[in-house]
Amino acid sequence: MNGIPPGTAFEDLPPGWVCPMCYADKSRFDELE
Amino acid sequence: MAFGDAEILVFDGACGTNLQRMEIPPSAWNGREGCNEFLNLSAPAVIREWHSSFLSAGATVLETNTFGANAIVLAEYGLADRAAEINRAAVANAHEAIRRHGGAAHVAGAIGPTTKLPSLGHIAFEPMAAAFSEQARSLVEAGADALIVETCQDLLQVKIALVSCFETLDRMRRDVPVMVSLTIENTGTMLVGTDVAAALAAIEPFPVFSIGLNCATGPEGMLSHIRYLCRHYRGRVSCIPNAGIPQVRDGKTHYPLSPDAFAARLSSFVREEGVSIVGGCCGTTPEHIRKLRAALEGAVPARRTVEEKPSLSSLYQAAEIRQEIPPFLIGERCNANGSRRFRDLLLADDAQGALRVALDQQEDGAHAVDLCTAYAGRDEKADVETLARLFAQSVRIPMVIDSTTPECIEAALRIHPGRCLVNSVNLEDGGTNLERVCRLAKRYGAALIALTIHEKGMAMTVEEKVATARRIHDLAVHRYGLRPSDLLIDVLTFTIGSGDASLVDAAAETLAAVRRVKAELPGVFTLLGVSNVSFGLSPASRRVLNSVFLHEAVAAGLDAAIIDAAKVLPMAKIAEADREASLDLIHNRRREGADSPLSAFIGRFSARKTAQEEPGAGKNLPAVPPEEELAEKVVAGEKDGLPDLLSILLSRRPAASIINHLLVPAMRRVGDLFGRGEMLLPFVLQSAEVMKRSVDYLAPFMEKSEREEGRRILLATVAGDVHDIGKNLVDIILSNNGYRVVNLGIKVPAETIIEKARELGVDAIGLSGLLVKSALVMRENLPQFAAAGLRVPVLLGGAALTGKFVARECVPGYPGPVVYCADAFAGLSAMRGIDEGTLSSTVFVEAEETPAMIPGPRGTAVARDNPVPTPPFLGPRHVEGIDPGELFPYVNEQALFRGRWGYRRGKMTAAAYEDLVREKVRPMYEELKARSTKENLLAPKVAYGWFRAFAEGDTLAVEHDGRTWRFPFPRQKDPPHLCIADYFRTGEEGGDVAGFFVATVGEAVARATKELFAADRYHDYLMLHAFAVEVTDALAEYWHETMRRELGIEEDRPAATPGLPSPPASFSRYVVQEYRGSRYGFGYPACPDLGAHAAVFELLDPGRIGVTLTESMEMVPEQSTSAIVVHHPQAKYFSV
Repeated sequence: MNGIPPGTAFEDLPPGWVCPMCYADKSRFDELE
Repeated sequence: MAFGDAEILVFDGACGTNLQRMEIPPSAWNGREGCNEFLNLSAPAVIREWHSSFLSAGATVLETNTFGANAIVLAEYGLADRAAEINRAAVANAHEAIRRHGGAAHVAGAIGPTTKLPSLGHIAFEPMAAAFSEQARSLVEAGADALIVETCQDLLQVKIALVSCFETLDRMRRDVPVMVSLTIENTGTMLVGTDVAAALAAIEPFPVFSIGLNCATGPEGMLSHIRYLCRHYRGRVSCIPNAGIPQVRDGKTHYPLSPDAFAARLSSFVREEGVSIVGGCCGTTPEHIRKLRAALEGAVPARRTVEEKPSLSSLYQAAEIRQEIPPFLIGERCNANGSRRFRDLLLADDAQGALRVALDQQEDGAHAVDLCTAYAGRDEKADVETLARLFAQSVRIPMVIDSTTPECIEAALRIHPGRCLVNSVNLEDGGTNLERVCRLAKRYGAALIALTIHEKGMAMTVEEKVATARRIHDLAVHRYGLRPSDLLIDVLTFTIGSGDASLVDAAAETLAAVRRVKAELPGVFTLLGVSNVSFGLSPASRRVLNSVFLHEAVAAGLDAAIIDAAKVLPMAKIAEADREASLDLIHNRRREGADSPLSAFIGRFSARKTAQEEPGAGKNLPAVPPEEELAEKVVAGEKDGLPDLLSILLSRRPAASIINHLLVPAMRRVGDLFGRGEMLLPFVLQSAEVMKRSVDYLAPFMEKSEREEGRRILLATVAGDVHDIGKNLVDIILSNNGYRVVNLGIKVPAETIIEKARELGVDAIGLSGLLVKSALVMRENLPQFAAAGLRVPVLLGGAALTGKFVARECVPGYPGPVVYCADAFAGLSAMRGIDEGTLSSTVFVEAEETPAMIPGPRGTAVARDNPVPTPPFLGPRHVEGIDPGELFPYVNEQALFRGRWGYRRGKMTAAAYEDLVREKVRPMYEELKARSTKENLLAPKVAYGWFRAFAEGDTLAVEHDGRTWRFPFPRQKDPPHLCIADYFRTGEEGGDVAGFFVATVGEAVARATKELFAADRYHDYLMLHAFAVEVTDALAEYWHETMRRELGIEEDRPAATPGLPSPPASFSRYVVQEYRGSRYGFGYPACPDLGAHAAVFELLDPGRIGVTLTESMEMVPEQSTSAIVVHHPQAKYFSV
């Protein structure tokens, strides 16, 4: 999706990445477990 | 039949809005358009016809057309000298209408609020009182059966009106019922900020006939206030609402509530709440009153159980004298004779410093603040006037007027809008002064402290104390008309620390007298000046003895104490042996073979010298230098013992140095920790609270010029945006890092920002805004700033902003630096950039740019053959009384904990984060749930409906009541080019069904949130605000599910256990929309235009659940949300 290959690690997402569902940018994410 | 005999009084309806519809010849106005009162003279027939329309409708009381018939308002039309004539004519017109009608209605003389707010200093007591007295006299002379002081917006105005009315009636030797009707805005308070409890406390001491509400809202918006009055006020309660909250339609004001709905709601107030006076205000027609009269056929006002709460009040809030956990604490430090700090501030004419002393006590938990300005060589009256005015506006707790001079007491009572306590009277002169002050208390509705001092001196023994108390009680109650509950009897406290043999039993005598006064004079309150008991002893031991004595006195029945609230120790913090020694001293118990109780007591404390050894002041750790301790406290967010620590530091270095060299660097460390992800936002706020308290403590010790150091920044949420949490966080961080912040609030137009920036000569401007639209407003504001000649740096922050937008769209419009700030600390570093001369505009480096990401599902065409479910009904419905407990399972806890509260895992290990959540975050969440339930902070309500709808291209047409509303939805510019309208069938395809809802958790929680910010409780402020936002979202999720159930499409409900109702098994499946269809919030990515609210509000009438729109189409209260509900299975969130 958005030209990001499946399996890409979170750290490797480009800085401008946004969540394909909700538009949230990378800084909004927090590791769950 | 006398006015008050009828069980239910039905007042008439609107004046202004009905007169507007009548044909009034231009000659009648005679160039005074808008002065309805003038028509009493120039067009009596029109006024009689208006009265007559309400008599025919069944009104039993007519209000005279005299709302603005006082010299203050009439002066605006050049009619000030004709006020009496106009009032007399108005009464005659009403009487004539009744005579012609052959009825037996009564006439109430209406007294409006004028156009001035005395609490804000627009007008002084005397001129306003003169205008009200003249109006009251002429209305009564002309034969009005009652007076109604109505549409009251300012508590001081009410007080002035009541003092004037009762004085006038006294002088005329007439007994005419006087009614008070308050206007409580949508915000839940009167215009000036008074809540209903504060208003009741100030008004109920007056001999009024009734208290109630009129104007501002429809009946719905009045319910909670009416309930409060019905439950806590013994007299009659009136309710005279508008026909709903006015809306503007096609340029005309429109009142939405139909006569039927109005009558049904208001009659339920009579039958269910016990209201016994009803009528209509703005927008109510004769038809409203006819229906009301019909709905009240055979009605009897509900029996009320009234629990009176004798209280004092400030301009803002009430404080019950009978505290749930006694005693009522009166802060003693604003006393020129008792506090050196206060005296020095007074002598330096530093009113702001004096105010700070009052605010400190408020923060320390005082319930009221004593103010004594009597000091040799000063003008006591001038000082009390200055400070009473300042305290009245800025202190949230009530005021105690501490003076022995009746002129000074009266001056303060005329300035302070709330219910004050007067300190004090006694019988030293045989009762001359007592009579004067009792009459003042009666006249202004104040409470009174009475000391047991008589002609021969202070009462020392139990018998003497009780006898003097009884004499004062009998005079005050039987001769001067006060109520027992207006009195706080002080049976005097003497020191037991001096070694004076005649005083060894003084404390025990006092305690016994408290017990007997409570038993023998029912209804009176008792009070003591507690700290006298330990006069002459060392500071550390005084604190212990005072606290133990206070505890004993409360056990004896003490209601109130004058004491430094910060110095009261809880019993649990006092060592057992210290407590025993104190009790021995208080009760004069000598242990066998031991010294006197006093020697034993002094012996125990002789070794303790420094403040740090005082219980509660320090830790039992090896001493660290106080400089380091302060830094540690800031970083740890630890507030205990700050005053002691700061006072030690003050003996070592000047206040400014403590701030600049200790506190600011400590806060910088906090900012660094936050920036590195090692400190979470809630802890940052706790640190800021420590900083704030320290600075407040130090402020009086600084030169004025020192306090005005530090760059000044102006902060504003831009026009059209009501969101203030982000801006307030910036305020907190900047103001606690040495910058002076001017916070202009929300919805601030560019013109105001320019004006203030120029006036104050600020060093920077900070703009904030949550909405997408706000980013555009910022872009538009900047060229305006430039044109006005501003060049100072502008900092921009807000959810919808990006560095790219600021660099490309904002920077070019302004000649000074324009800087994007991603969070409050970015704002702080920008301010440091200004200090260091290194700040420059945000730039956006092309290389960083990555292809734009467009969220949303990808792929196939939208199916056109999706079956249309059948809705259970068509049109709008309103649902109230939803149990907040039902909503909690729908709260997105991850979003709350991590997103809004900032408890992010960041670099923590999973286990450490789990511990944090279990021990800190979740308990706080549970406590908030419990608190919000207990204090009724959440009142979930929904306006929703189902409507026939069909797509026309990108527009959805929605039909209701023979009208069509069109919702144009935007389409994505890039593939797959989604648009909400695509999920609906067209007319040719047979049409479709659409749902809408507006949901709110009410305004109580917004009010509670505001109070926390005002009290500098930053951490709790953020927690509660975020909690309310997420519960509002939970309500939307919950109601969306209810609507899917109504449509019969809940088959793929995400719950793990099929067939079971709430709670949802796994909330995460709701987050990813594992249910059928979608809801799209207005103002959110799929339909960002808030303009759609105009149509949504016409379809659903959410005014009935208390939600209204601002001119920029945002919903009020803030904790509200709206959406369109789409049933098409392919409909999911996307972004245009």
